[in-house]
Amino acid sequence: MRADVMAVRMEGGVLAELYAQHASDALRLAYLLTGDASLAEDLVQDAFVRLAGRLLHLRQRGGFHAYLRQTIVNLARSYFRRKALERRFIERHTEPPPVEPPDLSDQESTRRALMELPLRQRTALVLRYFEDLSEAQTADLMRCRPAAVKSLVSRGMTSLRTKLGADR
Amino acid sequence: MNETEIRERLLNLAADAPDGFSAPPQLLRRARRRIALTLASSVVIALAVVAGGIAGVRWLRDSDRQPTVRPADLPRDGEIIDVRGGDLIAVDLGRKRSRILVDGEEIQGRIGNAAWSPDGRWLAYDTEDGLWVMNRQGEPHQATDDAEMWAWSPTAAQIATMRTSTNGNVLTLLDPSTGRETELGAAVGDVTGPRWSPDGSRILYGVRGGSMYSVDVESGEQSLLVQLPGNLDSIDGIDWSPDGAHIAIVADVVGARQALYVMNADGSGVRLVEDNFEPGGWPAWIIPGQSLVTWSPDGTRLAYANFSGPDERELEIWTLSLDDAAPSLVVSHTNSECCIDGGGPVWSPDGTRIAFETDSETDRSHLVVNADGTGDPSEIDELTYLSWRGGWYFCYCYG
Repeated sequence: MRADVMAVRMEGGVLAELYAQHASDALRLAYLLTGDASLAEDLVQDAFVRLAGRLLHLRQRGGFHAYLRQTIVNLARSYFRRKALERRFIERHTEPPPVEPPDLSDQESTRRALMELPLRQRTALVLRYFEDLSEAQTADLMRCRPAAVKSLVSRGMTSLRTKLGADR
Repeated sequence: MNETEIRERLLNLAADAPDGFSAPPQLLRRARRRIALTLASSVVIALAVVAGGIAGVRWLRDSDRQPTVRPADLPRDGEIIDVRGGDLIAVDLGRKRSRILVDGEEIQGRIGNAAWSPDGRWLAYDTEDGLWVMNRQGEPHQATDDAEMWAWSPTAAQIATMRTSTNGNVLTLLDPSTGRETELGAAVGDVTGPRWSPDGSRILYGVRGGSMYSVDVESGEQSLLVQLPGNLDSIDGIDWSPDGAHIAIVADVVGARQALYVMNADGSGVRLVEDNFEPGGWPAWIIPGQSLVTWSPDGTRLAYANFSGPDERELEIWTLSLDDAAPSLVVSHTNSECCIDGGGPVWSPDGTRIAFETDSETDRSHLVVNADGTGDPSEIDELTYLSWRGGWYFCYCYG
């Protein structure tokens, strides 16, 4: 068992290194997908914890960032799936919230417009234009067709133009 | 707003993200617990395997039975293929059990598409490093190092592939037993396919622009079967009717959506069924067994999906009878969110019902409806849907 304890300590150390190396990028991606700083932190921590158990089995340590990116996208999707169920329940039982006046900074307008997009459109836009992935890479990560990525990005851009244009 | 502006806006917005330069102690504690748990699980599993192995050896030694081909290696009726956690697995629907066919940790990249041979003796699957064929003992052999387009022959004696060479695409047959390759000649132009005729005598492939070529498997002779009318781009789907008498074709229309044609197997009697639809699903040429449209088991009707309405949020399932009647709307399924993907109608084995898939913003579900349009759609479990589809697996990631 001593070897196991050593392995835990060693992998914990590796994880700390990986965290220092990748956490900032991961937080930015999670924030763009969720639009919520504390939720982004939670998702990233969850992603690291999930990957910690797999560190022993990762064939390519150098591919950690790709694993992390995939895990964050998956966790965001799961979060919004749960959220959609909650939202449907709440909508059935409560009055709609009051509409806030549109007095927003540029960044806040972007955040709101981005968050109003369907998750798949938002994910496709963020992966293509923030993570700089190709259509094929984005499709691979989102498990959809490259043609679907193209369509998602195109629709997302159109919606963003409309939403941001309307805010101005 | 252009791409540059959206990049700038995303970068600016990302600056609001929290910083995380040091790992919080709580995270490390959780992570270490997770690692310890993983190690402990591995040790328990290893001990269980060793104990099981010892028990198995004792059982074999004590038993009078002779060793035989392991039955677990043989595909069983009703087993479908799926990918879970990167592993290619076979799921026994009746017994609700699954077994790993290909360990995801042992392959390059991930499984693209996979299909049993029609006789169940072989399993073919593609990964980033090519096409692999596994025999009934579970031993994989690399058949090619490039295999985006491949299809089992109806008798499972051959796999047809479109291989890339300096001369363009070459239609090649692979014998899974011997690994022998037979070139049937260069394919004309930018191709999609191949699709075997039900009797295995011909292979069709489509060419960008709307041409369809037919290749005689015995002689290798190829000929132009038909030039479809219309301003067409690529051909995305070629589907033979079960009796081989008719062919359904889905093609991209330049600058528009897609068109569905039905014709006789000799290229005559071309009929444009739909000229402005989006069938959902995935290009059939790249996916062995996948269909954008599906023939009923008796070959008299076609089923296909179409996305319509504002933002294409309505998924319609249509059927078409070969008696020249107009297409018939079976069901229109509206989703308040967006149905970007989905479709993929499949017939029940008795031809009375049609199942389809909806993949919305937050969920993927499977519904079934009576083929005559009566009644309301109801949920069907995914495994039944997959089994109706034919028991093969395809990856969502290419197309």
